[in-house]
Amino acid sequence: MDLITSPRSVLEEIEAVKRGSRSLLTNYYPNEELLARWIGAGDLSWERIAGTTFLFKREEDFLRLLYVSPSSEALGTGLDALAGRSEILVTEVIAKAASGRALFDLVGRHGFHPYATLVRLSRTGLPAGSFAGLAEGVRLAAAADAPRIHRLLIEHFDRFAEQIQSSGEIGREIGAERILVCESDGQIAGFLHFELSGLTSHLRRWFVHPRFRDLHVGSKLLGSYFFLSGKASRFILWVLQSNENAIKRYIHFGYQEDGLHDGIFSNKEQMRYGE
Amino acid sequence: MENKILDLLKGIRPEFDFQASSDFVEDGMLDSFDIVTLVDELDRHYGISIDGIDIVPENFASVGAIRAVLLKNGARE
Repeated sequence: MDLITSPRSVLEEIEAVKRGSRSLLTNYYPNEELLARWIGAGDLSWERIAGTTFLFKREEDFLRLLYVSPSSEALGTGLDALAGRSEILVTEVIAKAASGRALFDLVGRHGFHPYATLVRLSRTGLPAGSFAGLAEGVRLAAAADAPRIHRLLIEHFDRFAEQIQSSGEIGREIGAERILVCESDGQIAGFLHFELSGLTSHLRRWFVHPRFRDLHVGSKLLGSYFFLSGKASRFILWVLQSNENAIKRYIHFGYQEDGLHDGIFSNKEQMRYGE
Repeated sequence: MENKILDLLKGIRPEFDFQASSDFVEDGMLDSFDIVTLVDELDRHYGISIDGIDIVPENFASVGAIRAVLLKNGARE
């Protein structure tokens, strides 16, 4: 594994793999700003194995594995070579449920084990009802909220399947006015993280602290989110397939599965979501 | 070819009016997964296989850009 020192070198490497490939497989879609941050923090390494470029993004106690591969054969050979490594490697495969089975099976046949699956839900247009402003008790998060939100992420989310942002990354999202909080007695009762991109609004996280459940915190946050996303006509989110309660709530608010699945795999067979 | 491209786009994201946009990606009408789906549909319809190097968002940002990438990869009008 070689440490990456410039975004340009990554982009050139990816171009070299892509050139001439007629059956490209990748779980990495370059975002230059994010790439520069990862490289600046010394968190990104790479390795080319059998024609596939693997990127290793360092997380707290594991490596997130990204790949750009010219073919399924090349990807399988590369995964075989990596599966026995001592580090925990976590990778993901995003594919349509109907046609993506082959890709899920490919990763599973080459030394990586299913850890969890996320499903994408979406809805078109705003739900009926008025969203005239932020709900009572809901406000945009402030910089001082970042450490508290980070702590909630660590305590209540799964680092392998749900990508825990650092306090700094949360601070940047707060600066971009993408996080809402609902406070009660000076405590964060819930928060919601979203990203508006043109006509599409992506609900990244919707969290209500267990001590504040059944107090309409979630619906206040969601209503405020719909208000802030007023120009969007497509609403999407990812949720763990096993989180049936959350899925029921999203369906209640008009979301439905749109057929895209995100399989999370690890090279450690004993790892299981929720254990 | 333009009409067929619009039909395929509409099939993938029926909620959007692609004729009202000059940049489908910037306007949030197509994301990375939609582009992968669109490439599959274009490959199948035109009997081609789009080169991996051409699968970048800017090549799918407008009907004109998609037409250009199709022609570059051997599609016929």
